[in-house]
Amino acid sequence: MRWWQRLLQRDRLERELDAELRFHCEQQVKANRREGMSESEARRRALAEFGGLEQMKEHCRDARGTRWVDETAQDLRYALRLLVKDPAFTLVAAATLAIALGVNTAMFSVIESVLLQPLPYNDPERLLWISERDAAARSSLALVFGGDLEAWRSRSQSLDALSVLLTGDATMGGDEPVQVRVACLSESVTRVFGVAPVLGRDFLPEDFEHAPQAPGLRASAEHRADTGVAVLSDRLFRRLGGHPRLLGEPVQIGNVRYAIVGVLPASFRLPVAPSLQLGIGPRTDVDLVLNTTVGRTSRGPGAVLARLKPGVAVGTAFAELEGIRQAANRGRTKEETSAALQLQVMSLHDHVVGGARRVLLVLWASVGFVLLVGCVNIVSLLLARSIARQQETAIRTALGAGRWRLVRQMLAENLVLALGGGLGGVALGYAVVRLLTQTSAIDLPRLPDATLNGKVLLFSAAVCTLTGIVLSVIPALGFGRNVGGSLRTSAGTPSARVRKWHSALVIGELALALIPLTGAGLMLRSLWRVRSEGAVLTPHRVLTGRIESGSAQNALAASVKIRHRDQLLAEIESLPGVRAAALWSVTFGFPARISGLPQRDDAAVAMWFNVSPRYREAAGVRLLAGQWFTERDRSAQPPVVVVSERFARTFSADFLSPESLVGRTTFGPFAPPEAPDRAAPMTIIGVVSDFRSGRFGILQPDDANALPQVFFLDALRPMAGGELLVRTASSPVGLLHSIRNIVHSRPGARLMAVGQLDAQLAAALAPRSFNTFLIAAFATIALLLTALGVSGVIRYAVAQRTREIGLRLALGARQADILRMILAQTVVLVVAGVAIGVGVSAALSKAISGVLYGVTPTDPTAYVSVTIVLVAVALGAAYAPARRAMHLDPMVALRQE
Amino acid sequence: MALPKAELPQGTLDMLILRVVALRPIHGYAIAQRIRQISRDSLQVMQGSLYPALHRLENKGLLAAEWQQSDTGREAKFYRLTPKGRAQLKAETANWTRLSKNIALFLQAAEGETA
Repeated sequence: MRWWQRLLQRDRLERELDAELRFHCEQQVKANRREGMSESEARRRALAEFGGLEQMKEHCRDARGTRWVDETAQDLRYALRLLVKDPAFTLVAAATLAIALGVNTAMFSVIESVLLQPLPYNDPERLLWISERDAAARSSLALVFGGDLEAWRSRSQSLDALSVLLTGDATMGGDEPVQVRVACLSESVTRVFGVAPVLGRDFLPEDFEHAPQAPGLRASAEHRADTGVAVLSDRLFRRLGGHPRLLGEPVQIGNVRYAIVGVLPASFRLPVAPSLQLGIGPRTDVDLVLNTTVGRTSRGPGAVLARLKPGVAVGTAFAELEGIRQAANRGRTKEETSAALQLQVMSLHDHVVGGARRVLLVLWASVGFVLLVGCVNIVSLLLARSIARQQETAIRTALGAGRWRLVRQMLAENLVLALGGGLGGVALGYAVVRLLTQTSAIDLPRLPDATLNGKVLLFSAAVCTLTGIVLSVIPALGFGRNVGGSLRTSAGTPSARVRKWHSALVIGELALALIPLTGAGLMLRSLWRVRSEGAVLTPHRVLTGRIESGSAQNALAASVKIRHRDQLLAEIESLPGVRAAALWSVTFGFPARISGLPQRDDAAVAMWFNVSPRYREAAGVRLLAGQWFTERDRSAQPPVVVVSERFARTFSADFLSPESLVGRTTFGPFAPPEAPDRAAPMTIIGVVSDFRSGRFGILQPDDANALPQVFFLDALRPMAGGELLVRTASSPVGLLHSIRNIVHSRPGARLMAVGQLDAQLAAALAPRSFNTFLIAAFATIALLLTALGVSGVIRYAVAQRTREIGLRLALGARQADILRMILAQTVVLVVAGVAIGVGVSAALSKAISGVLYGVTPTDPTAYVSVTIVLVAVALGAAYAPARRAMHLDPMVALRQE
Repeated sequence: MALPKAELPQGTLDMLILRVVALRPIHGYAIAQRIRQISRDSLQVMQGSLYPALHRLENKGLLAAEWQQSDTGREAKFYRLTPKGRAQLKAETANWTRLSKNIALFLQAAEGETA
């Protein structure tokens, strides 16, 4: 019989043991009778030979090796009985644990999905993300210039594959277009990601010979006979009907036609940002992968993906790429190369996870503190309870229970509690994860895949068990030793040592609660700063949209394009209620430089805004120095530009006012016709406030590392369409119909992606608002738990001092004196807790600085306000028990025990 | 008066039990009787330790047990040796013989020195 069989068939074993011993006894009785004993004497002797029947049975049971299971079951039964007997304690403790474990489970589930899961590619650790960053590290950009790409491709020994990656939102289809997210590659999906299409084919080498640039980039004359091919994501394939006949069908993306050639597996995911040249911003999975010549036969900035050869280290690849890049840059002038930028090579996983890591770790820390506060709370409850149970413990010890047996009993109790809390926590965690994955406000890659999988449940179980053990060990350390004296004293007169422990716990709890509170305070301050900066733009009553021009318009001559634009905008501005209308578009990445500055010889990557003359009025950017464009500036030589506040700060943080930038020369991405490889010198004529639209990832309203902006007039780079801004006197919604009619009256032109600027800014702020809300929610939970803890300890202290208070009242103390006395005790605890909490918060706050905006991690306003909140809540929590003490009837109090 | 009964050295009870059971399947009472008989009453087995030992050996897999009719017609739990038990008995017997021989030799030698 195996061990577990013995465990399960205990009843049968007991019956057999009885039968066996009875048989022995009866045989012995018979033998004794044969020796002439009387019946009763024979039986007595037979039993005596066993020497203690029960004791022997116990020894037989020991032989089964299952005793500890029985004892544990006993412990658990006893624990349950005790917990049921004290429902108030059980409920508070279990609910505290459930909340603390629930938020921890949910956060870990998110972290597991977003940070820990490997990317769904073949050998994902070999995928690299190559980018360049500003020498002064003011911003990190996913930009590499085409020249380097070609050199890398031909000379690199450490890479298996190299591809440009351009991503963006584009419209798909002709009559009823839908918005899709596209990624353009200059290499086949299989070679880069190691994932082959499940249907149809991948890009072939010849596909790149005459590939289009990208659907968003306006096709220039030499790029018309393009053979664009598209590989669909499984999701888009299903949305289009999921029929294999789709292969070979043409599809219109933006203004370019592509042929569908393949479908990727459902597991393939590529979370990318919405802007063409990749910035920060809400990332969603790519719907379509397109071929592009960028990085092959045509130059242009873009992000770069590479696949390492097996066994090659990232550092080796970096050294090699940097060497090739510097060699390629030799002989070019500073203005026309990206030499001032630093090369950055990181794993694709790090890039995808990058920004999310900071936010998630801050959130995880907050829930960690919630768990700590919860634990401290329960420990102090347990402490109070085990003081009440000191006599029970003492009696059990006196009856022979070993110390280990007692600790085991306590462990059983707390594990039952932790298990109950854990089950509640998993249920709560499930609910929270569902809520999080269904909220579109959170900008986390791969969040929708978050589930409570095995790893998450294992984590929860581990935290749960650990919590149960901690809860048992700390009280055992606190007073496990002083059992001996307890029998003599009556219950409820704990030693001074216990009281000190209790105070220490409350101080610790207050300090712990202050840390997430400070985080929440700093986040709220940041949100407030972002909001108030956004208000500078006066984004209200501004209609936004994008004009997709037809191919006929794109083919027009530059001067005609400009004339058509002006006519369109003039027509819109002639509508009643329209104040200003403008078109703009943005390209990223070309580094701006300024000549004649003694310091800062480095270039800064800038955003280049192609704007129509009335852009300033429509966008609402304020003029800080110099002047804005006039019509005449369209033909100025050298060309003129207006730069943003951030530009001024980037180049002149130390000594230049915005005014001093006016009249200086900067270099832009426009080659003069006589020297096509040179950057063009341009004169700065004005400085304006930064423009933030929320539409493009890099125009995030809360991007602390936002790029400097340079505005130039549309005549330099004439385009038929662009982003539309219409500022109106009243609500713009009523004008939408008329504006759409005007746009659609142009052949092939369409008005797309209509919205309002204020709504766009709010939507772009949603992730920050939501993160702030989460941290504030966690901090509030910690605060409430602390209030519970403080009130519990004060109530307990009042109960201890009932007689003393009664005596004081009887001797003539006024009620107000009693209240003051109790509150003074609280204040001591609060001051100590806050002092420690502020110190620890300040030390930890550097970790959160990455997610703050416009606020230093030691922002005094945040610290003072959260301290006030904490003190108020703690005193409020102490007030109720203090009041009860104040209204004690001295006679009743004195008669007590 | 009965002869003074020898205490069983630690760990030898198991060996005696295995030895008795090795002859034929046998129940607990009979085992006690046999041990007494074979040792001519000189080894006193406390019934109190017999049954825990039997159960221990059974749980270790050295003995197997079965309920069978005894000669008196009552159902009794009969123990028999498993192959594992047989191997154990052989090993322990050899061990014991060697040990007791060595001890006897040692005691003789020691006697010679004192003489």
